[in-house]
Amino acid sequence: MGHCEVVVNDKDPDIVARNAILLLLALHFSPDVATPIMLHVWYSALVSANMLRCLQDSILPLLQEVCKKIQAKPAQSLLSKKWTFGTRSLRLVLTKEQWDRLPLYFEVPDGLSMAQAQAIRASTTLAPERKDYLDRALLTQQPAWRVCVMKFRKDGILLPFGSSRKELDTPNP
Amino acid sequence: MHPATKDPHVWEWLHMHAKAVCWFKLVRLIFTFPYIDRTILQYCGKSCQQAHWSIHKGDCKSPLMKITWRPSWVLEAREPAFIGTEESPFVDMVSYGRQKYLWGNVPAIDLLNLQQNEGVDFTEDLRLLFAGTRHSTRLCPLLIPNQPLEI
Repeated sequence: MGHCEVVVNDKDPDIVARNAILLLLALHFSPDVATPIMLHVWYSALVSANMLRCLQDSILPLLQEVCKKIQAKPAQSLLSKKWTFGTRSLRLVLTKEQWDRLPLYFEVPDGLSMAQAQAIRASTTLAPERKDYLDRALLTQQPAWRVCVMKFRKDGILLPFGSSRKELDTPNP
Repeated sequence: MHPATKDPHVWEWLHMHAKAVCWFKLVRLIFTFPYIDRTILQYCGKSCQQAHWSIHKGDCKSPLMKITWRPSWVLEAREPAFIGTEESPFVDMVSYGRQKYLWGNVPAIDLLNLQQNEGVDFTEDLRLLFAGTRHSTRLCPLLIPNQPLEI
């Protein structure tokens, strides 16, 4: 069996943090547990309280441990941490400043409600400036698909049209 | 007909628990698009369908569901925003929403696609590079085979 090495880079720290969290989820949990959490962390404005708890109880401590060890390092120093999960591993290289920001992605900002989280997302997905572009795309779609597309753009939750959204009650930090 | 279904209690049970679909949508779709998957919303029974109607009717009766739906620029009798004018043929870039490109413009896809490429029994080493930028059209997976690595 061969080795597979994947190197992922991005200049946006939010994207790097998201990629690291998605990979840690995939490596730490079994596929049936990790998959729905990854899906909603990646695409949805809301997650379930259970999902956030999984993230805070299992993934956050991995990052907090690193932050504790590097407290005395200079802010711009590049620091690397490698986690091993059986035959697989993940190595994350960030500046000390970027490491210290990672735990913040696991906290819902104070006062951020579900409606506000969805509105922040909709400010892009339903931007008035882009209405004509969106209408142009909807024009070529089947009627029921238009309703589905608009539902996803409006409520920001990646689920089949008829699925209950009741469990997803926490803003995705 | 099976003798059991002559029993009114059995028939009522069957009726309650048979999958109910949104018939309005189903009828519309049968006559307009005969080859697509028609049911995007199913219920476990009539009572659930009725209970959900006050929420669902907003979607079911949406103008988007009509074959006659037209985009805003047609209804408002104006040029669409993506068409330039004679004075300014090139459409200006407009800033909107949050300046974040969380998903880029390429959906999540299997770039490696071993089944179609090297084959699922491929056992050699693989190295993939996603150099990354803000626009996913510039994501370039770089495949360098045959280099054994320590991970």
